[in-house]
Amino acid sequence: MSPSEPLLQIHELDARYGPIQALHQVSLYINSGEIVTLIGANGAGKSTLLMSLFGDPAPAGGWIRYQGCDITGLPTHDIARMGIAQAPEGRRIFAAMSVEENLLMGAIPVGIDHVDADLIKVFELFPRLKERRNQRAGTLSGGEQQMLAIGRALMSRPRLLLLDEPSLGLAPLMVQRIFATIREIRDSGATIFLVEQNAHHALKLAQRGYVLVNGEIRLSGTGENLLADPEVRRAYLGGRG
Amino acid sequence: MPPAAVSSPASRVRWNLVFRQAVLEAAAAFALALLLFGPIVGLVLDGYQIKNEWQRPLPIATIIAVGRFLVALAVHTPTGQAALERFNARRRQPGVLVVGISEGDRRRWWLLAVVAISLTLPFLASKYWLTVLIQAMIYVLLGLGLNIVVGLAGLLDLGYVAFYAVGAYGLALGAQYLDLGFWSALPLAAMLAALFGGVLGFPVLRMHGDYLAIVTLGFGEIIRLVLNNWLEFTGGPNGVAAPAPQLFGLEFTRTARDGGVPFHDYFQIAYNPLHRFIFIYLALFLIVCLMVGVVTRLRNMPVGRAWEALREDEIACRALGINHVLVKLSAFMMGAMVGGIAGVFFATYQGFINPTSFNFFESALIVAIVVLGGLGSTTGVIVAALVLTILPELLRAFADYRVFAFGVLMVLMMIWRPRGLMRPRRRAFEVKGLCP
Repeated sequence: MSPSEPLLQIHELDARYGPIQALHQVSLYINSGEIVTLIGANGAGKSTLLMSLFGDPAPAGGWIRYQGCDITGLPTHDIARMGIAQAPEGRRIFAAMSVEENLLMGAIPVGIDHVDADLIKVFELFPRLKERRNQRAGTLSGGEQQMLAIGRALMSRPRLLLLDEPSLGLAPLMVQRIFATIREIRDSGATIFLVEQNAHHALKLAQRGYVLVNGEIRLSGTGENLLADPEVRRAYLGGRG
Repeated sequence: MPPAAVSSPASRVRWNLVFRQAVLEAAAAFALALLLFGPIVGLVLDGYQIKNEWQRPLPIATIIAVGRFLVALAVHTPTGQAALERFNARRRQPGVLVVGISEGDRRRWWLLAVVAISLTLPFLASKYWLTVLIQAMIYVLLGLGLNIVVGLAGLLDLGYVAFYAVGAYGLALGAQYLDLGFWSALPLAAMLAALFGGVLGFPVLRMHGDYLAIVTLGFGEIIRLVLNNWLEFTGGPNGVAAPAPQLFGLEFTRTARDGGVPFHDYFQIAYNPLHRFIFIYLALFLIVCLMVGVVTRLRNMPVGRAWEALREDEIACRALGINHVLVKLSAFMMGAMVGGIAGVFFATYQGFINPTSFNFFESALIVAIVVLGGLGSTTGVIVAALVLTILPELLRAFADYRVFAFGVLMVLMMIWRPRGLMRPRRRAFEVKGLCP
């Protein structure tokens, strides 16, 4: 991979569920070490983009390159083993398993060699998880479950971390803590693609952002520029244009 | 209620109240029991007439009423209160129990006691009870195998008996056509069953829930029908003979039949036909122990954990890099293999098999064992298998009501213990370098 090439590049991606086209010609790129955010309303196609990047639904057109390799249309589990990890929408933790076992599940793509060290790292990032490590994951609060989902994703030592609405359904205080942690994860060297409805927090955190409307990229730019953009302010920040 | 507490007037009033309520509840139980058992036990069919023997249900109802009375009193004693609290707490907190690291030591003594009893039991049992024990062990093995598929991986397999049949016929036909003995057929039949599991599993594992159940149900019937109708190869409904087991070439017969030496001659002891069954039982027990060990270890390994994760959330699993088809297939083949091993033991213990032993009722019984035991709990499955095979033998006198009792048991289970007898336990583990 040449030094100038982005870590992830999506080019004119189409995705469809049967006859319904969910993404139209979406193009974006993520450089190594960046936090890039994708904001948009409910049903704009944000989650579809992440899922499509993971091969399900398989892209109907366009291509995806990651670290200089074409990963368009690979099976989901193969993509997950290439150093891309996802904290999916709705958290999708394993409720009947203990917190620790959930974290161990995350280590599957990299094997168990570094498990102990990585567990300690995750517990440093989320001390709450350490307190509850022998508890059933289903008994955690929403915020703790989100921590667990992020922690589980981190266990695979990802180069690219995809976060799908980590603030969804959380109390404002917990949202701030989650965003503070995301910054910490970026500082430790991971690249983060953050999909959010909470545009204010996301744009303040991210270097660059994209705005997705009805399956198309409507706007893009640096986080600051988008925050100041009248259209963004009107649509997502409740401000007056 | 401790005697010291009865002396104070306030507690005496409370005690009277408790007593009166217990009497009322006992009376209600008596009436209900009469209502329930009256028609079943009280009306006797005599020739073409129904005789009304109303006094017959009375003792049953009395026993129930006295029992209800005692239970009503017992729950007001401190121990009873504690037991009730524990019971309710379990019901309130569904799902899985995480066991601490130190808790294993206490259970080790239980385990030792169970193993010791299981090893001495066959030497004390009569031939009849020995066969019951062997049957119970076979069902324990079947339950453990299906537990991997249904309990751990969450794939509802209603045709599990097919793999049981493949194992049994693997031994019988292997002996007939390839001249295989018991010990050489055992691994081969197990592999054959696993292969069948793979052949069935590969196309159907893309299906979910009900669809998978129906396809496996069909597969079970197909195997049985093929065995029944392929006269030239399987002997059809006439069945085939299966060879008896040998111990390093020693036969468990009065005189040598297959050119070996009889077991009792070699060790200079009197001939006893029970030796053969004791040997089968001990071999089975060894295999069951091995299976319990393997399953316990597997559950703490990535494969086993992936099975359970897949049961919970397939999409999350794929996003974590798990190839869901392979993982499901491994569970399916592993379960099929265990079923095959159980089949081999069934065939050698019966000495003769035919397709009627492998009908849908067997599949249903094995599923019932797994469900009753609490999906995923090894201890629960073992207990349920023993209960469902030994209890009918103990209650031979009520054999006519067996299916009825089975149904009542299931309904009661669904009310009181919707997640099975035992809750699946999960182990906590130690992380090196982490201070607690």
